[in-house]
Amino acid sequence: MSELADAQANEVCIVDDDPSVLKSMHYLLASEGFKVRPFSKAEDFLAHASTHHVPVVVTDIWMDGVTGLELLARLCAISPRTKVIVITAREDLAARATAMAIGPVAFFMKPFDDEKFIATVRDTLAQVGPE
Amino acid sequence: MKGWGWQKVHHPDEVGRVVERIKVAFATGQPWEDTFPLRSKTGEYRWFLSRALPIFDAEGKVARWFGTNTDITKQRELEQALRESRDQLEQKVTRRTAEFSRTNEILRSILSNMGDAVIVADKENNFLVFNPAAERMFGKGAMEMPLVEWPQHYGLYLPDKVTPFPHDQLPMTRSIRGEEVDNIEMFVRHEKAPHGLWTEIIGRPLRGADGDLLGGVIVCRDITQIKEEEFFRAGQSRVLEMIAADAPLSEVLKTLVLLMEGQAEGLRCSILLLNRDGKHVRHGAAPNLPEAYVKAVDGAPIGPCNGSCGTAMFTRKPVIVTNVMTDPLWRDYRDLARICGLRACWSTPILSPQGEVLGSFAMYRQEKRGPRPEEDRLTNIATHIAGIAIDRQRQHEVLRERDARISVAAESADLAFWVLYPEGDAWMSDKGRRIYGFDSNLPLTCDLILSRVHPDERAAVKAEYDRACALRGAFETEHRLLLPYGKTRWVIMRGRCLRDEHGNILETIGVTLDVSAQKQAALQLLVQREEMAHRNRVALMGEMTASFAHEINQPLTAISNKASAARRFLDRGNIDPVLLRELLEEIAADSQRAGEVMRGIRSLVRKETSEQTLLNLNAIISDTVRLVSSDVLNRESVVTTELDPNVPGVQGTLVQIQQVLLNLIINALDAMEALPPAERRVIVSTRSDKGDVAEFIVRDFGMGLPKDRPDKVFDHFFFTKQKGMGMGLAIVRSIIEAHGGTISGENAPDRGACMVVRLPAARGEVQKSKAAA
Repeated sequence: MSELADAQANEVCIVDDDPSVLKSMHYLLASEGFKVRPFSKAEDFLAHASTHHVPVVVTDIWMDGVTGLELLARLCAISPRTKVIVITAREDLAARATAMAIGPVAFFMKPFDDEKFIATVRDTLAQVGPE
Repeated sequence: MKGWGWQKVHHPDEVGRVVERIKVAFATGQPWEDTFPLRSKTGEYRWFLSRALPIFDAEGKVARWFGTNTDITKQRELEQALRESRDQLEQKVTRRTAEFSRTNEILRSILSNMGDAVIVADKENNFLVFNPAAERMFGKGAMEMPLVEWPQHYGLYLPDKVTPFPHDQLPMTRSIRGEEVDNIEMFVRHEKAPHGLWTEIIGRPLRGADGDLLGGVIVCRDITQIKEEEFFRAGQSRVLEMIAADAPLSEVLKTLVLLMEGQAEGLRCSILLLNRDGKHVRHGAAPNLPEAYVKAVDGAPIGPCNGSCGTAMFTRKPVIVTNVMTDPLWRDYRDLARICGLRACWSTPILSPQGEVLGSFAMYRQEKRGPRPEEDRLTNIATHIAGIAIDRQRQHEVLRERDARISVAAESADLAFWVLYPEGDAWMSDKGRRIYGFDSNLPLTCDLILSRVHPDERAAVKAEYDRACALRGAFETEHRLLLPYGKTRWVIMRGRCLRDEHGNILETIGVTLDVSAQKQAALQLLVQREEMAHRNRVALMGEMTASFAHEINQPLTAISNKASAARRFLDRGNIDPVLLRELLEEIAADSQRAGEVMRGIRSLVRKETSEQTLLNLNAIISDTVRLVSSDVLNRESVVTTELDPNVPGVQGTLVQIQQVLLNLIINALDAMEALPPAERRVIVSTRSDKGDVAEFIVRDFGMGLPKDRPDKVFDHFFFTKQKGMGMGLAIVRSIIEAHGGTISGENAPDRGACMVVRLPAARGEVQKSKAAA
């Protein structure tokens, strides 16, 4: 396993069009020692995912341009094994159901409990394991 | 004496007589004595006293005569002179005596016959002269009595007619003291003049040749007639003043009748009024006629044979009845007249200046006779004055009726009538006084009325009034009144200046309309609109909860995450202070952001939204579109903007314009719910090509507006969607109209609806936009 691959294996991608929220998640995960790769646009993440192994992605749902739901749909095609954790500022049961159907492992309402969130990220990473 | 040759020296006129005397003497032998002129040698005659004595012989016969001639010419001349002188004196005395007696006679005659009373008294107050006129005037002649008794004895009073004239101030007393007194008026009343008479007195001290004060003299003139005429005129003036002062007609007529009655002894007068029907009489004034008579006449018809008054009014001519007991005109009233002791009645119609019969003036007497010239004169005066009084009262009645009618109209219309005079005083109707809060008796002035205008608007109202006066034109202002105790009213004041032929302002007349109720209703409507607009905004909030939740949750999430991260770094003990600082600063910034979102929401929910500022439509549209973005995403729709950078700024209330945009966007989104998500598009655009109008358009691609009446969507409660807010577009329109703008709905050429909002560009913004273009 190369260093790069090892690094990628522990890397958590974050997608959120709100720069402040994106940065806050970056800090939160970094404070627990996770390697973090932030994306402010879904398109950029999808481009990355098509060329890199992405074990876990944390994404917002309501974004300008390509939305979180679109992202989920396209990620299934590009990288079906990537585990998805959804965060959203809106409580919308319909959206949640849709998202769950596509297959995210967890769903968090902004703002969320940091312990649970980190535990979920850690568990998910462990589940995926090194490729 | 031999021979008679001696005769030659005698005067021819005397010689015969002398010869005869001598012959007698010779014959009788009596001695004789004679005087006669004798011619001297010079030829002049001189007077001689000749005496002859007979000398008798023994027989007793005359022997011879012895005689002497003594020249007595000188003596005779002296005697003659003396005699002449005495005669002259006697003549003189006789003449002077006659003259004196004549003067005395004249004086006495004057004193006896003159109309003025003349009284002379000495220093001891004894009367020296008391002429017949004085006796007539004072009722009795001169009597000896102490001075202090004069006023009572002769009935002397001060002009008040009751206070006895002080004896030490009597004109005679003062004249005796050496004073000159002029034109003292005194009232005199005694048994011979029970009604009294007026006298005007002049007094002078009486002095001797050496200037010694001997007494006093007074001349008293009877001015009773002048005085009575004066009183009569004053009485007429009083009646005319009463008329001018609008005293009640009954009072005026009563005073007039009493005045006339006072002019002649035993005279009774009455005034009857002719009813408006022109057929019946009405009691006017008859203060001294028996009540039974007055009652019987009141309401009687007029006619060709209806007593003096009824006939006079009917025939429009004076009717003189010298004996009511026999005159056919009095047939129906004879018994009444007998009971009341009336015998003669002369009645004259009272005519208005236009010749209309107003009533009659009648004189009654208890003796059978016709009027005297003096009584005719009184009748003329009485009918003239009564005519003025009755005519004026009729005119007043007409005016009052008109006033009353106008007042009723004004009261029901909440109208105040007023008149402002250039001199500064003013008149106002009763309703006006109530609107302005003035007591009904308070004398009004222009300033007082102006003082009721609200201080904020007073200067403007005054300026408007002054302008109208200067231009001799009309004015209209809407303003508030500030009444005592702080109550305010809204009024509309309209006025017009009336001018005379020279263009001078006679008065300014006008009305004030109380529009407080309408204003109140308008304000309530405004409040209701605001209330509805507020509800609409609250409802919009409900529609947009997703957007709001998102907008707030974003910064809250950031804050939460960053705080957790900082804590974890600290727990691990490896935090870089620079990083920690950055985290804290970002947390603070995120908090600010959350606060702004909250403020935005609060401003939409808040009720008061009236503050107007200069607004940039493009910025508002961008912010609003961002605000709804979450909902737009949620609805799987797209909102795009096409903003013209040159659109002019508008003056308006931010929240209200936002509210308009939110309503239109949400309506547009609602209109497309049935469409596939890919077709759900809303375009918000601005345009500046209308010059002084800023325009924005919200376009959707839905089903469009009702074809027959696109504007119907702006009606209250018109809604086509299930969950929509029916008031939405109606409120949008009222907001836009309150901003002086318009909104119209039209269907786009291909499909969907366009809501076009046009707002007036703010002042100064048009040029800016042109320059930018």
